Amino acid sequence: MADRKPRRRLVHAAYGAAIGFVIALAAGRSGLIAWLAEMPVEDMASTALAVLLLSLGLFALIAASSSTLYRRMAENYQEGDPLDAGVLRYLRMNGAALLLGAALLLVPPLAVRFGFTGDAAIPVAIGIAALLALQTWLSARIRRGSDELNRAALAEASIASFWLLQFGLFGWAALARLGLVANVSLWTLMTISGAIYLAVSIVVALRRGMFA
Amino acid sequence: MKNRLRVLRAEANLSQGDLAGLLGVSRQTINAVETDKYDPSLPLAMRLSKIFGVPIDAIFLDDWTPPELPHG
Repeated sequence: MADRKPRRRLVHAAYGAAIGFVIALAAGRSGLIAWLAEMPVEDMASTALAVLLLSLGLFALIAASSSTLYRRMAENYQEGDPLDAGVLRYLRMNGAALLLGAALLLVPPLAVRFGFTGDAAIPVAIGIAALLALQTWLSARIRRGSDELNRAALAEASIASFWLLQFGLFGWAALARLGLVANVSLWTLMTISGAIYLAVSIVVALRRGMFA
Repeated sequence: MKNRLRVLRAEANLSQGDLAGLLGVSRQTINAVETDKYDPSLPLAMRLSKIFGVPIDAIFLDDWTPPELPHG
């Protein structure tokens, strides 16, 4: 029997493109794009990364909301796979961690944009600290519930990200010290580190056949 | 590391999901081992050996040969 996956992926890509087009059209007409375009470039980049995490998190939560939906939506599901409450709970926890990651990236630039600076920023900072603590706790629980392939992939992604970031950070810092390039803000560095970790994690997961 | 896991699993009439369930790992882990994308930990290799009732080196194939030990 011919592999139906490529055709299915094309159909899904077409759905995705159509939905994306409608969302972009609505965002443009509502003035959201113009509003976002007034942000500094680093905030736009972190917002884009947050939207990506938000989409991934929502996808995971919707797929994990019922075993029927999981069977239909999960690319790696094969008929006969054990699908108990534990699998769905694990996916829900990952989805929640992604949403928290998105919130952590969205809140600081949006807070500044809405005028929460100086003393008014203190409650925002407390909120961010609470979100960070929650995400750290959730990440630890996810790691505890992972099997050895997941843990190995996590360790591999962490090592590769650390190496890439240290290499890039040293290179940029040396050039900046020599006056050859501009200094970059902490927020830019944080956004870059998040983007690199996400990209490296996806590459590691692909290499390890985790989407199979 | 090359291995005979897929063959042994087929002989035992187990799906990837069945084997994963017996071992308490995800199906992706079994798939990654079978496709040579992941070398399992020693505990997991030993459990595979127990499930199929064969020694570990009947599952995982290694063509490395040790150098001759110096005679003292």
